[in-house]
Amino acid sequence: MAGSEYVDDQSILDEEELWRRVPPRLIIFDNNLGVYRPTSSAFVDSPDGSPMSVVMASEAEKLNRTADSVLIGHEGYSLVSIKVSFVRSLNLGVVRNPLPNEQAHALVFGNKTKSVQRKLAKSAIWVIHYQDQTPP
Amino acid sequence: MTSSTLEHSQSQFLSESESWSTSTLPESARLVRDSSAHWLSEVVAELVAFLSLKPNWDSYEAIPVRIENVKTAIELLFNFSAASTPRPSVVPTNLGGVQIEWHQKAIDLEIEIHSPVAIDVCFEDLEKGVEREYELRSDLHILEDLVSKLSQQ
Repeated sequence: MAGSEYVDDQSILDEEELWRRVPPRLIIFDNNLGVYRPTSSAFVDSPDGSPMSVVMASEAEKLNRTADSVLIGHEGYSLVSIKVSFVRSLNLGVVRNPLPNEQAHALVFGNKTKSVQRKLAKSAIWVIHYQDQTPP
Repeated sequence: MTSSTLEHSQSQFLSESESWSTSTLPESARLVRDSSAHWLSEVVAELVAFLSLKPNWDSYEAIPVRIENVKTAIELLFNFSAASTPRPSVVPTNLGGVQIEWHQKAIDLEIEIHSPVAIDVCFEDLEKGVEREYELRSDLHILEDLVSKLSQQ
């Protein structure tokens, strides 16, 4: 399972917000909640087994970047935010993983069962919601 | 997606899937019911359109959706939905699968098709506070019961 080699970085505060892109096809209408939200399938590890990619909001802000910058080159995508404290409550961990093209990159590691994916999806808060849908 | 792209996907799907008489499901899982849900053609078109997704369609290295998983999703919908079944959402998954999901009538039901013989189901009754997960491999009849809960009332 992705993540066994990682250790939760305690220097990342519980209050930290993690941003994740959501492509248009992974947004569904939840009639129970009466809202559009990302599907659970938007919160998964990468196909190569590496843990789920996110961007640390505070790190992006230190670089004088806004949320929009995460969506550059990804037309129609939306952006959601999840608190680190919530991620940790699901027995997941967070580790910094800066990339050449994304210095604020981080990984959310640990076992993402379907139940965990669903909790992440329901807790996600829209940062940028590209609205091109009408309720079914 | 443009209409010409969708038409191409549909014709590709029909040519590659040989015949609808060739089921992707294990024999023990097949039912004989033929749904009359009014939304079926729309949802089938959505599922077929997934076949046009290119590698990295989610920007996180997702792989393209596999045709056998689209076929399985369509078969499941024909088998387990009734005229009174509400319209589901369908989404692609990053490992080439398909997910069918309902979030209504205080029920969350998600059916994730990894392959025709590896289907995960997550069911939650929000009023009763009951959550169950199933890993289905050959016997899919539990789906009939779960989907029927959505079709009641």
